[in-house]
Amino acid sequence: MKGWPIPIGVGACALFLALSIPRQEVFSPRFGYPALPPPGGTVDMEVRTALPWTFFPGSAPVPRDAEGRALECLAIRWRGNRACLTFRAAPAPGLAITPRAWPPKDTYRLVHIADLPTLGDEGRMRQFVEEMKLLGPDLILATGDLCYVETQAWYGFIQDSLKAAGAPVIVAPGNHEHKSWPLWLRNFGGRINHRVDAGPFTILSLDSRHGRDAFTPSQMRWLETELKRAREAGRAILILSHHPIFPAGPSGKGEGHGIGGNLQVFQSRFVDLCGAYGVAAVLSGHWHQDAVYDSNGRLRDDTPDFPGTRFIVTTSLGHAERLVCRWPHRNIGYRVLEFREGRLLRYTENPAGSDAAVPIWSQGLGRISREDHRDAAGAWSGTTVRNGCSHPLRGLLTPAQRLP
Amino acid sequence: MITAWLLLFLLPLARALVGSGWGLHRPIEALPLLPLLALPVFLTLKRPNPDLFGGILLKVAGSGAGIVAVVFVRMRLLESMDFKIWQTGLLMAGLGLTSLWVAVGSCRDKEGPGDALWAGAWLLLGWLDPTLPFLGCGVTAFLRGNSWWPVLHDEEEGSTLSPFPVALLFGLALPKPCWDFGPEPGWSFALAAAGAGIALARALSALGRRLPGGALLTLLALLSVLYHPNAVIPWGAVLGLAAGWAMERTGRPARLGILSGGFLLGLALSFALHANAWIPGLRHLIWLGN
Repeated sequence: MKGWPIPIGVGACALFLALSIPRQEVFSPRFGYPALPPPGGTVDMEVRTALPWTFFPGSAPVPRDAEGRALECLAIRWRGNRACLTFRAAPAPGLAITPRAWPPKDTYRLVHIADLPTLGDEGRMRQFVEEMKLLGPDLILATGDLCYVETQAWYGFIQDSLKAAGAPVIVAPGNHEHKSWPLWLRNFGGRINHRVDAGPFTILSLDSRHGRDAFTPSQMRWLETELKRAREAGRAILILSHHPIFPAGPSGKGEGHGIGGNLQVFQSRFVDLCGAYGVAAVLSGHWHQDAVYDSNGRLRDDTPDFPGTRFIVTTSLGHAERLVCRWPHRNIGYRVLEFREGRLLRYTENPAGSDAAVPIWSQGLGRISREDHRDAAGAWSGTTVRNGCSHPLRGLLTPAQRLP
Repeated sequence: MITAWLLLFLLPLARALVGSGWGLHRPIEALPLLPLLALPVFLTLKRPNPDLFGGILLKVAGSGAGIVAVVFVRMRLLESMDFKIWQTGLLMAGLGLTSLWVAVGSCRDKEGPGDALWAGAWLLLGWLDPTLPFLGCGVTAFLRGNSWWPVLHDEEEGSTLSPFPVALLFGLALPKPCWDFGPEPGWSFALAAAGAGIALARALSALGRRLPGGALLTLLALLSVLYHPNAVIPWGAVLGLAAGWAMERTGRPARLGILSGGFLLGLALSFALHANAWIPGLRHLIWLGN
C-alpha cells in the first residue's frame, strides 16, 4: 500500500466532486415505457441518481395524482445509484405517471405502427392521430424508425403526435434511432429491453440493432427470464422488435434487394423461445411492407389463422411503401390487433370491396370512416366506425362513448 | 499510465463512440478522434525533445487532465454521450490530449499490480455511470503529472513476445461485454475483473514466464469467442490474467505507440465483426449459442 494513500484520497475527492450534482434519470415509467397498473394496484418507478444510495435533498421523485396529491410510497429498494420506488396507484385515471387506468375487460384492441412519417409527411401523422381518436385503441405499439429526422424538434413532434392519439404508447427502437441515439435516449428512455404488463398482456420490447440486425446474449438471457415470468403469470405475450425475424424470401417484383434485412443473430434461439413460452405474436416493421410468417419462417399468404406464434411485419405508417417479400401489395397504414380473453382473434383487414378473410393485409391509413346515427327526432343515437369495407371497427357506440 | 490510457481512455472512448451512434457527419464529430491522431505526433515530438514531456509541462498536462475530467463527468453524468454537442467532443479531446501527454511522458515507468487494480476499480465504477472511467483516466494523469503516483523503477528488459499481436488480441476480446450489454451497466463487472486479472498476472509474473507465449496468444484469441453473460467475471479475470502475462513479456520500457495501435486496431476489428453479423460462418463465432 506504500504510496497509494494519496491516489486513493485524490480519487475519492474527485469522485465526490463529480457526483455531487442534483441530477437524476427516470427510466420508467415514461413516455414509451408506461406503467399501466390496474386500479388500486402499485406502480414501480425506476430512477438512477448521481450519488449512490442517496436522493439529493428535495429531489426524490414524488408522482402526484390529478388533484396534486402525492402518491403513497410503499417501498424504496436501492442497488447502488439505482432506486426502485413502489407507489400505490391512484384508483382513477389522472395519475401523472399513468397515462390511463387499465380496467379489466374481455376485448382489447391494440394498434401496431412502425416506420413513421418523415419531414413533409406530417399530414399522415395527423391523419393517424384522428383515426386513433375514432378507433380508441387500448394500446399503441410502435416498433422503431419513429424518427427519421435527427433533431429534437422532430422528436418532439412525433412524441406530441403520439400523445395526442390518446392511448398509452410502448416503443422499441429501430435502426434509424441509432443514428440519433442520444436523442432517442433523451426522449424515449435508456432501456434497450423493457417489459410492460397491461391488463392480460405482457409486452416485451427489444432493441434489435446491437451491431446490426442482431440480439445479444444478455438480451436473450433477459428475454428468457421475462418469458418465464409472464408464462407463470398466465399472460398473453407480445414481443416488439424492429427487425423482422425471418428473411423476406424472393420478392414479388424484385424490389426487395437491400431493404429486406432480418434478424441475423440468435434467430433460431429466439424462435425456439417464442414457441416454448407460447408467445402470441412478434411485431416488427423495417420493411415498409406487410408480411406474416409462421414459426417455420413460411410466409403465410394463404390464411391468417394458423397455430403457433405469428411473426407479423407491419407496413410503414408514413412513406416509401415497398415490395420486399412476395406478397404483391403495397400499403401505408397500421395494424389493428383484437384480443379476446387474452387470445389473438384478428390482426388482418380486408381490402376495400372484399369481405373474405384476407391474410397479411394491415389497415390502410385514410380508410377509416364514421357514420353518425340519428333517431327520428334527429338526435344523435350512436356512431359506427368502419375500416373502408363492411367490417365495423367500432360498433354502435353508447352515449358515454360518444366520439369527439 | 499506459494501463490507464488503454483501459480508462481508449476502451471507454470506443464504447462511447459506438454507443452514441457516432459518425463523421459534421466537423465537430471529429473532435474525439484528435487524441488518436496526436499519438504518433507526440511520440515523434518526444524523440528529439524529451524535456517537452517532463517537468512543468507534465504537471500542467496532468492538472489539465484532472480538471477536464471532473468538468466532463459533471456535464455528462446521467446524460447520454452526444458527440454532436461540441462541448462533449471538446472535453473528450481535451482529456485525451492531456492524458496522452502524461502517458507519453511517463511511458518508461514500470507498472505494478496496483496500476491495474486502480484501473479495474474505475471500470467497476462504470456501473454507476459510464463516464466514470474517464474520470479515472483524468485523475491518474493528474497524479502522475504531479509526481504523486507510486512509480516502480526498473531496468530495461528485452521482449519475448511482440507487443502488437498481444495488444491486438486483447483489444479484440476486451470490448465484447460492451457490445453485449450496450447501455446497460453489466459490462463494468467484466472489465473490472479484467483489471483484477492483469493485477494478479503482475503479482504472479514468475508463473506467467513458464507458460509458452503461443499458449497465451491462443487463449486471448479464444476468449474473443468464448464469452457468456452469465460468466462475465471469470471471463474477465482469465482474459486479464492472460493479457497481463503476455504484456509482461513484451519488454520494458513499454512501447506506447505499438501497444496503443494494436489495441485500437483490435477494438475496431471487434466492433466490425460484431456489427457485420451477416457474414456467413463468422456470425456463428461472434457469440456462443448463436
